[in-house]
Amino acid sequence: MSKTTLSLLLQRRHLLAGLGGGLLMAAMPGFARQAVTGTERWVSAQGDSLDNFGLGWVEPGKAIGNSTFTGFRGHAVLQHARRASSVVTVSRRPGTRALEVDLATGEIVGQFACSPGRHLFGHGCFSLDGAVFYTTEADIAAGQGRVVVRDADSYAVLDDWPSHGVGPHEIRLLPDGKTLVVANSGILTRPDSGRKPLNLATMRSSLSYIDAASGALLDDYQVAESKSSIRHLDVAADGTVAFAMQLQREATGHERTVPLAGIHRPAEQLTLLNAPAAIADSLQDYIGSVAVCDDSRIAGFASPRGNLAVFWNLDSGEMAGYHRLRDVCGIAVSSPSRAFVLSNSFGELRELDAVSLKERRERRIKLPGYRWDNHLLVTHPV
Amino acid sequence: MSFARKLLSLLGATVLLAGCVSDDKGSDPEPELPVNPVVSLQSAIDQAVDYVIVPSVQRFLADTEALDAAATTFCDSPDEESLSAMQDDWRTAFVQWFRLSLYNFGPLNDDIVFPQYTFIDSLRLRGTDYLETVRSEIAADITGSDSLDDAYFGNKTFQRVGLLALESAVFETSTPEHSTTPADVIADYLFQPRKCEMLQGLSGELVQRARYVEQGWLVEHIDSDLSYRLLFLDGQLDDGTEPLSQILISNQEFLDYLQARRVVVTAAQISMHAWEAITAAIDEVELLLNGNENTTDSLFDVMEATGNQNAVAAVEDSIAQIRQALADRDVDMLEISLGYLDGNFKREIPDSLELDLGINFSDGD
Repeated sequence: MSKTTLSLLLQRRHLLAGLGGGLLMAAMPGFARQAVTGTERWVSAQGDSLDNFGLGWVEPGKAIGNSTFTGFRGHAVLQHARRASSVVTVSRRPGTRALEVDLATGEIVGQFACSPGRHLFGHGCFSLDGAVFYTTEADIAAGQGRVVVRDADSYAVLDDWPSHGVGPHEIRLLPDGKTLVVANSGILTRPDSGRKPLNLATMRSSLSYIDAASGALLDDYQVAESKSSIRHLDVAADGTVAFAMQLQREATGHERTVPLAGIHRPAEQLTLLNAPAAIADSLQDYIGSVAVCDDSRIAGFASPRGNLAVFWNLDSGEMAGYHRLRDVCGIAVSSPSRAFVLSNSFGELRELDAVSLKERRERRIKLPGYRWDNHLLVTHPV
Repeated sequence: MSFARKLLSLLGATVLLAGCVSDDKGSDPEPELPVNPVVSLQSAIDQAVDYVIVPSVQRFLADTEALDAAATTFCDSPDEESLSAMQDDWRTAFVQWFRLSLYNFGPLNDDIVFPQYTFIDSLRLRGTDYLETVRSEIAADITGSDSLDDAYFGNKTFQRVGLLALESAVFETSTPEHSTTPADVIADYLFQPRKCEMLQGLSGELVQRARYVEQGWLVEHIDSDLSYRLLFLDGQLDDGTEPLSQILISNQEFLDYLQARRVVVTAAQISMHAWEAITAAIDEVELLLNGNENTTDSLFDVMEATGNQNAVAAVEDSIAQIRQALADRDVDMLEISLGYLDGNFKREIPDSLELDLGINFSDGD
């Protein structure tokens, strides 16, 4: 399907939305209503312009894409903790909307927008019981990060806490169910000045642990390089946090290679993950996504600038391998397949064995007209 | 021809891009039709590879072999004539390297940890000038006792070999003064016999790198059993990049490198040959876009046939500004005008060719 055709279909869906009073129906040819049970899906925000930004998904092994128009550029997608066929797509900074989409029908079944004076950062997570949805947000006037707590059914705001930093980005719940970990990027931006960093001289990025019931700061860690911005993270079953950074090179005043990946084991200091200089340089100061595979104890980090995904062993801290893919950014783990799944902005999806890191070339998918955005979600079959 | 290749050819033929034909019968002069009114993008890519890129690879191998032969001649009979000939051959190889640098993919860049190109041009990796490193290495090789055989040079790290090491060996003495006076350079070789072994080791090592690249393009790429040329034209690149995207991105990256690393004032500072090398690189850009005497379908032809004359004009204007800056030896204007051409490779050229270069999530999320 050409980009134009996809765009027209999405526009059609937009029209249907107008007729349907706010809920969009999935009208794409090839879209199949199907039982959710046992179905794994690879889901991502996708699109490259206001007239085709949407949520896209595919079943592994099938080169048939499904898409729902959202009207905003999404960032991360989270599987709803109580409604297994639903996902929540959160708009990218400085967007203000999030939508819940039922992948079985393609319908938008819930939505919310930030309070005035706030914007989202594209990330969120659910509480252990699935009753609460947390998002990272900005208090624009104050220039401070917030963690907003919402009812996961109605999306009504239940509470509103400081993120204990500036520019909070990815947020995850630790396996204990009681602790949130937030990547405070340290970078201040404001919608009226676009995406330009406004505080590079004073930026302070941190990995902050927050009480998921009260919002109280439990612990806080920084890396030595003050211009490294912690943005993304994933959590292993044992509570080890893998985190990915983006270096603000123009503010460093040096040309030294800086590690961009790290892990934090419970009750230890941060550990940065090293790689041969050529690989570290190839990342071009930018990692855009991270995913942990509990089976293989390997964490994968994707760098679209470097056209490279790099993998490290969580226990030894040694580099385990790498995979080249143009503009790769989405990375997620398929547990049933014991695989890392990678996505890029050309509509490509690749599967790598989670232990050997060898690509399963026969499983390649390319959906013409699709533009997978930063993050990929592999839904868990139920 | 593989099925994929046939399919590509068929698609290329099916989507032939018709030239602009006006129905206007008024008094205005007839619009000038493209020289080739029917052009195929696939054919333009094929011809760019076969008439421009592969010959550039082959010329670099030939030039390094010529330099290696000149080193042997010089060592057999070290005098001003043989030294001058060897220096000329170094300049030729260096200039050709800048032409080839526009195609820094495939065999030149097939190993992320030890990419071939770094062993030819250490500056390219991150703009670090390793001149003092190669000077120390040369001095150590001359005075040391290691056997200066192929294995010795094959095991050297990228910072210690390649065109920079050869530039120091060919143009200056190994003494702390680093004299470039021909008589001093010759005397340096005469009084230190191991320097010739070192010179020939370096030139032989460079030939091996150039041969690896040529063999990869034409015989076998890594362990694929296929040449990179075939893989490239079939669109079977491992990282999923489309062939035309690969060409344009690589050109853009080299133009970006020339500006970002101020290459005109950091490269070839002993031979003072950077201006000529950048001039050659711009010649190569024009060759890539316009083709040579064998070309029937060039990238510019495709752009013009699809009504993108303004984009072609914008690229030509950028190239003209670069040429003016090169003629004036104006470093600042050179960087500015290289930036214009860099921008053309990001916007006008891909847009005209309806090429999607990807989102590239580089804006901080």
